[in-house]
Amino acid sequence: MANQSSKNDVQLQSQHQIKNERQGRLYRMLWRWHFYAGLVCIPFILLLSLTGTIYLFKPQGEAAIDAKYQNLTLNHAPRSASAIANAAIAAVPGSTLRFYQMPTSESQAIRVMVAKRKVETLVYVRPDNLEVVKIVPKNGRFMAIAHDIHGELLMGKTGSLFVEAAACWAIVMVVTGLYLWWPRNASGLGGLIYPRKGKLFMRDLHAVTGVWVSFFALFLLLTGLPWTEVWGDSFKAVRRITHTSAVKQDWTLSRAEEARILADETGGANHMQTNPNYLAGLDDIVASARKERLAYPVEVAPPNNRNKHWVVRSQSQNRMQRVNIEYDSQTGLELNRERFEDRHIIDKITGIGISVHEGQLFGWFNQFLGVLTAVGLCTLSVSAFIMWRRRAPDGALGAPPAIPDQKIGAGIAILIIAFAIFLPVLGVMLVIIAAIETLILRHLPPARKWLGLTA
Amino acid sequence: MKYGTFALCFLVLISGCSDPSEVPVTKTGIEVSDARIRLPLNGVTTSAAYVSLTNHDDVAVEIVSASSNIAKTLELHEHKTNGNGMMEMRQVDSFAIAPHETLVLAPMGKHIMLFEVQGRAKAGDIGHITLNTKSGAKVEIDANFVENPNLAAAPNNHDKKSSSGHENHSDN
Repeated sequence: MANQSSKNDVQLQSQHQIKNERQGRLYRMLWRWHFYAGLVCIPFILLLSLTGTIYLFKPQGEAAIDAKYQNLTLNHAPRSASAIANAAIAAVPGSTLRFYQMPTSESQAIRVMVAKRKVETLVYVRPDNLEVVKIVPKNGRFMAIAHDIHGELLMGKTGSLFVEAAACWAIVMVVTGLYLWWPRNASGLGGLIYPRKGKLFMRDLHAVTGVWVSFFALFLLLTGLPWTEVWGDSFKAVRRITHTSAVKQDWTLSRAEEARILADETGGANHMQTNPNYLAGLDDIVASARKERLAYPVEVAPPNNRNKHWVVRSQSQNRMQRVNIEYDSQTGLELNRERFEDRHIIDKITGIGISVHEGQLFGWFNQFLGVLTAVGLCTLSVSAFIMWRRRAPDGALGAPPAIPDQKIGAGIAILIIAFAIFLPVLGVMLVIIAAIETLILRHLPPARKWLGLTA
Repeated sequence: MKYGTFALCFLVLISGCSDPSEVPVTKTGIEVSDARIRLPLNGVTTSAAYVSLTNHDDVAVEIVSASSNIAKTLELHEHKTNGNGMMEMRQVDSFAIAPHETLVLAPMGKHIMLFEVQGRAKAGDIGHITLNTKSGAKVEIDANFVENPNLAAAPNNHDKKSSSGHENHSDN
């Protein structure tokens, strides 16, 4: 009897050992991926956290920048919208009206966006004497620059791809990080939800900050995907194929896309309709728009090559407040209006996601959560960097050592393929990395050793 | 830790001042906005004036007539689709503005017709119009003369306008 039970014990023990060894190997493999991905991601995460935090406060920032154009002492009753728009157009010779922005107070300078060839310029006009008090290129505004660095590193399509790649790998980092954090033999909550003092402090700070911000960080990363080149275009294509498309995309576009639309809408002859009577003018549409009291900022856009009618649109960063109203170019009567409730369910979901991402859905607390997440991401990056420099030996990169004979199990393989499909840029990079490893690095043992690829 | 708390409080404070919208103010009476008179077309002395009137009071207001220093006669008009499905313009006795409602005079709708517009007004001039209400109160309007969009507007017209702000305006 004793022999039988001890044999069972041994069997149980070796099963236990095999399971432990498999877990240990998986842990080591995911840790190595976490390390390598981290090295690449950290600079981007720091940059996007910084620019993102700045852009979170776009309303406050722009209000501060434009404070001197509010609360003006007017010397004269306000002039008509058409006179103000004409003054703006005259300030940029050869330009045409893109939109007239409805003022929120009677004593502020009116913003008018004009366009000349492919360049849009924002002109501020005093409503009492038509004096032009500020001219700034649309893409030169402070928050526009922060937005451009955040989305495309000021590098157009190439920059956008870099940001998308970094975002994809950041998703991998959160997921692998959560696996690494997952409690297995933990005694107490130290190292799980608060850092322990002493030798393990930096490691705990990293792990604990990671688990606390993981949900918010993943939310930011996923809600940022519609903006990207590859994922964003693929998303649009999937919607086209499944017939779940919106008529027009609602979130901000890359600079290239904006320029193309501008050229489409304003290129060629500027043909204003001629009609014997009752052609509506800017003043009439502005009066209609004023009555609607839509959420700030409200743009009144004239007919152009692409849109035959006037459009009054609220471009509120809280997308649930957005409304588009179309007014007939002849009569100025309302043709149709689209509110948030009228939009496709997919657009509603992405719209809410984007509003939360920008910190504009539920007031100051939304902005606050964004700041917390950015601070958490910076803490993760800095603690990771410190750990790396402390542990990296001379003459090597300092990756966690590989365990020999590492195989990728079926489950992990399926997960990797699923990720590669959902995040195409990630998939392409995995293929490129595998190619570099097998075709180039295999023949460079010193490089392999330094990178920590060899077991 | 102290710095952290301070930074947190600062962030919370400044994020409070976000919306650049106007601070709400309780208004009374009739609020006038977007008052404009279309420049008469060439060879014509009739034109139309449009304005948005918001009634901030709890009682309805009825506009029964209008007068001005820049036109001989003013009438209240509206466009209606007649029996044949055609739009036609006809005079009405009054415009009613319900409490806390906005009446928008606009092309293809209600408007103030101006007959025998005097002088040679140009865009940017001001014309004064007085609206008389049933109760006897008056609504004073300083309306901007605006270009008539029916003048087959071409981009060139815009270039003629200067932004110097040295515009004449007729006195009230």
